[in-house]
Amino acid sequence: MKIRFRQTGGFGGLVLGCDLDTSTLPPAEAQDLTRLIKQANLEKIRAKPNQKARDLQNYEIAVESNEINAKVSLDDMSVEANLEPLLQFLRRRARAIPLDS
Amino acid sequence: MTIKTKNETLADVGAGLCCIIPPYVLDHLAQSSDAKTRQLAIDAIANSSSMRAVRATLAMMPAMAAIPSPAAKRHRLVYDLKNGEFNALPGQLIRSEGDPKTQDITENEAYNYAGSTYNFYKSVLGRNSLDDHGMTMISSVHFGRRYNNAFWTGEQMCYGDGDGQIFIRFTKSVDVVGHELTHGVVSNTCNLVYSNESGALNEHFADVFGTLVKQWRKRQTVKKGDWLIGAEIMGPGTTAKALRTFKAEKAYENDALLGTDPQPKHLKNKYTGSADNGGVHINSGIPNHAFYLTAMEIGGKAWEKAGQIWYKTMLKLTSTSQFKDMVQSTTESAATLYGNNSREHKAVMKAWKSVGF
Repeated sequence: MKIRFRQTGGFGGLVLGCDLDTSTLPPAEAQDLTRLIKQANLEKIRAKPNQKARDLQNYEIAVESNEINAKVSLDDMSVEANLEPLLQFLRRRARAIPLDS
Repeated sequence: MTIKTKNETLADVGAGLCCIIPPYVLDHLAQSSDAKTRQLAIDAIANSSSMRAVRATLAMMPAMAAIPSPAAKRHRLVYDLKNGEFNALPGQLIRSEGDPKTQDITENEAYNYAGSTYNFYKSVLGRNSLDDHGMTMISSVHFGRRYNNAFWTGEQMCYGDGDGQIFIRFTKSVDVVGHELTHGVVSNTCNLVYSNESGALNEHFADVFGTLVKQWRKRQTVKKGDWLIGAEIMGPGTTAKALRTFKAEKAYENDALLGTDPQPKHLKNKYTGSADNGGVHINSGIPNHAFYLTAMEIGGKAWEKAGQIWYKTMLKLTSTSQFKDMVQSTTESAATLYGNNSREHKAVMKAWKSVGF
């Protein structure tokens, strides 16, 4: 399973992200990530970005595998509880990256 | 006698309150330190007949349904979220207007810098708070745990404490506070759509007036100002001097945690991707640099002339304004305020030309 995570916006406008592949992660970490993705139920997310707020952090999560093909874009105020653990996992691994890479 | 049934909601009770309690008492109750009392009062105000009349209009506006201050003048409320997040907003009321300082430096910075921002808008631009009608300025501090952000919800400011590495507390920079409050001013004026060029202009105005609050507070000339955004909130783990700079330079380059400052300072380098709502925090670097060049060309204190031109422009733009509209409007505003072919008028035209227009 391949996961692409991008975090942009926020007051700082920082550009952070990570690209993960469960086939190359340590087994325990890959298992954890697979579980969190299943829990997040990405294909069911219908995020509605907040129209009034400013400087929220924006997230893009794309997952590709034989079973899941999902891409979601959302902001801090539209994160549902079942997605939060996956976001925490990805945020911990995110690093500064060039724009659009 | 009012009997509350088990099916009644807070709003129902609030609707009843609006009929039996005078408006000025409701205003007072809306500031109560007790969350239930405060919510009842706010619901009551929201359910009043006058609010009902304007609700349809408000629903279509990103601008907030402002909580009026009791005397329609400077009125600050600071709440402590104690690491709570969105569902805990606004938190516990810690300090109201006129209250003595607390033991918490973050609470006091949020209070003091909101005051500086109010004073700047009032004395320099003749504006009475964010809505020009004395709207209460609400701040919630200690948002989340190690939270690396500050933001405007559409109704109030929220400040994280930072992770201690990249950032420390976001209240430490007066320009951060001025930036967030200016989002409230923009929402009440041109209300620029928060994506692509209009969104970059929204961010641009927030940076401009955030930095003007700082320079005005320090009574700095354009040469003395540092023209940095967020310099005081950078943590020990980064080499960045700030998050953004109005100057041609980068605020940070090849930093281990932040990478390289992505802001362009010329139109030819404008970001055209979809990240960050179409680059609202990225492309704001172009008009930011134009403002800096304008202020430096005019000289003196930036809020006295360049700031006046930009404020007049903020009042004239519309929600869908683009960079070209900004160029045209600032040029017209300079001519209106200081005369056609005046030094100020020429400075604005020269600045925009320098960044590619």
